[in-house]
Amino acid sequence: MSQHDFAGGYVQGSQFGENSPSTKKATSHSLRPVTIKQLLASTQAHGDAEWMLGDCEINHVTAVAHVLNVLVNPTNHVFELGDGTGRIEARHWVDASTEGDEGQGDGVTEHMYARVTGTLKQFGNKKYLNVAHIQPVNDPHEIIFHFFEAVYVTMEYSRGSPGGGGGTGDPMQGVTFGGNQSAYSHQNQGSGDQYSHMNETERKIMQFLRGQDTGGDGIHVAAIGRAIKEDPAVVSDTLEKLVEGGDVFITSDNHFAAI
Amino acid sequence: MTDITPRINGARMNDYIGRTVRLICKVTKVVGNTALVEATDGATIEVAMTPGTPTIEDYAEIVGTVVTDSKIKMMTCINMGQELDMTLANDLVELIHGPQKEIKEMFF
Repeated sequence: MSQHDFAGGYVQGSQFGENSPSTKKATSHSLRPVTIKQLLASTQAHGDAEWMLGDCEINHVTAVAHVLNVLVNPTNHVFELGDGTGRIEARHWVDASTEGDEGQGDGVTEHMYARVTGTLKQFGNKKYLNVAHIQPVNDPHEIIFHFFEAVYVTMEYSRGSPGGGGGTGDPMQGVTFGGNQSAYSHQNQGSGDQYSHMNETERKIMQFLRGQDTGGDGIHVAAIGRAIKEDPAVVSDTLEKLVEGGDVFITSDNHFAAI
Repeated sequence: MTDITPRINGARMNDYIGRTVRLICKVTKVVGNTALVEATDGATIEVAMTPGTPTIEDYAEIVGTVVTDSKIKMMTCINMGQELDMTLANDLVELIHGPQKEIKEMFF
């Protein structure tokens, strides 16, 4: 992985587990991994206002994108970035002191992927990224990681931490990011009942799936039905609803696991 | 919208015929201007390369137009090195195309 001081698998400086308005403001000091589509979808009330992505304020952002074009000017470098979700221009203002050993264009050239951090700006009606730092991506896994991280952070903002919203202590209990589903199933549910919006069947399914350590293989729908003593057809329908809501995912044909 | 070039695997080729997509793959064979690659879900895809494209080895991301459910016409390709966890890459593709609304909004 390239030297990267920021998003090392968790989002720093943010308060999770609560969804109060003040929480959303505090996040303006953190670094948010995003897709270009999210940047393009962000809005600003007026020229000096903060940028909003949905209900959240965003300030410093990071993205990983394909460098489509590089333009080296005397005072700035202009990169055209595309990550599959959209395209945006990124401007890196340089002067003699920032050139350093990176040389022209920060070592970033066309046909490679780059990691960029910066802030969103608007000139006329065109958005661009004001680059704080840009560097080549050396390990392709960084690309995959970035998208997973962006999804994770976005879901966390909209749904609260995995494994119990509000009240089961430190939400960041050493959760390894990126694929170990059994890490979530071991978290103490405690008294926090985030299933209060679900009906009885949904709740039973969620609790059963949470308690299973399947290593990501999931449980067959018939086995779920037997375990919670419900009709398999009912279980199947309920699972479909849970998948759409994003609480359960399909691991293979008719096998399900909890998020 | 041509700015949106979703990452896909073999199974989704059919849904994107005529569209520009990104295919993360492993190059298995190159014959002249055609390459045979393996997508993240193991499907074999034929890639029509533009003459003069530098030879890609091992892993690459092909950006191109889907011609049929097993053929893609390359526009550009990005070298992804010699080691790539294809299961992880496939998980990403499946996540992006999954039913969750919040995720769809981030990518499409």
